[in-house]
Amino acid sequence: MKPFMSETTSVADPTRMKKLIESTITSTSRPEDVLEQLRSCGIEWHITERGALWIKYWQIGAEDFVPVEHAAALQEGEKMTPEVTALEWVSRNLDILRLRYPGKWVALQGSKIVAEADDLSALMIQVKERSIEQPFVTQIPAEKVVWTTTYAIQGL
Amino acid sequence: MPSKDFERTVQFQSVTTPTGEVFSFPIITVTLVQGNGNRVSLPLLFDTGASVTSLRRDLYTLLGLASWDAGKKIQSATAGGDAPADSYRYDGIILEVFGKLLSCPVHLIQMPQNPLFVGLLGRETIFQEFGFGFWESTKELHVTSTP
Repeated sequence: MKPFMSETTSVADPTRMKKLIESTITSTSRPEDVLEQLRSCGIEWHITERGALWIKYWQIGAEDFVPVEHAAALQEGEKMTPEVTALEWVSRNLDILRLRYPGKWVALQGSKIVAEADDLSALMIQVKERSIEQPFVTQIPAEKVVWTTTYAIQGL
Repeated sequence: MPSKDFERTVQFQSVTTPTGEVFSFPIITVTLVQGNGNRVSLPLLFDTGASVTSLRRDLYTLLGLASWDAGKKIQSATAGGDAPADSYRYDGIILEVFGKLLSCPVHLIQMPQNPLFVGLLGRETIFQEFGFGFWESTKELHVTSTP
């Protein structure tokens, strides 16, 4: 199958991207191949119950919105894009999380903590009561985290 | 040698400690399908050294268990442990891994707290469904669902 997105194709050009996708869909490609290509290009997609393909794209709101040195500060913490996965968000914000939620179990959706509790049972009760669908669940350790592991026997 | 093609790439997750050290981990977010049909996303460390997928023992509630030690008792050697650790095996746990729904065994075991993963993605049942290419230099795990 020919790739429908070349390196020179601008993902930010929704009209062009839509045409390219339509032309690919009408060719001999399998739907799975089209979706895989979207995934490999970093484009989020969703299949509706009726079988329609939705794609998500960004549009430029304003060029030079903030100075470059200010952009980095705005990108930190909770102002990350919603595409950031819960795992990525936790790994990038660990220091803050350990200050705010030491020892807590947390449930996330994307880059947002939607529930917190002292134990997992209490967390899952909140999740159920609030009808939170498929939360990402982890615990923020209160103690220092040991990041290295090995396979060994101590004291020989 | 047959060619090995991969259709998916998982980038390692990195964490920077307060002292500036950077650690990277191959972490797979799997979906646990609970008995009531509810789904929970769990981050698991990709671990070729783990014979069976293992979860922290305090996740027993997610499996619908009354306690963590209700299953078949197993002794497992662990990284850093000076004696085998007790774990408890539960079969028929439904995990969705890279889009595949798998019924697989899971061990519950005591393990250190880590914010980036709540268990280990181990080999039994799961690994035979996929092919993996481990690229430490680029911090990537390549995956095929059709090995």
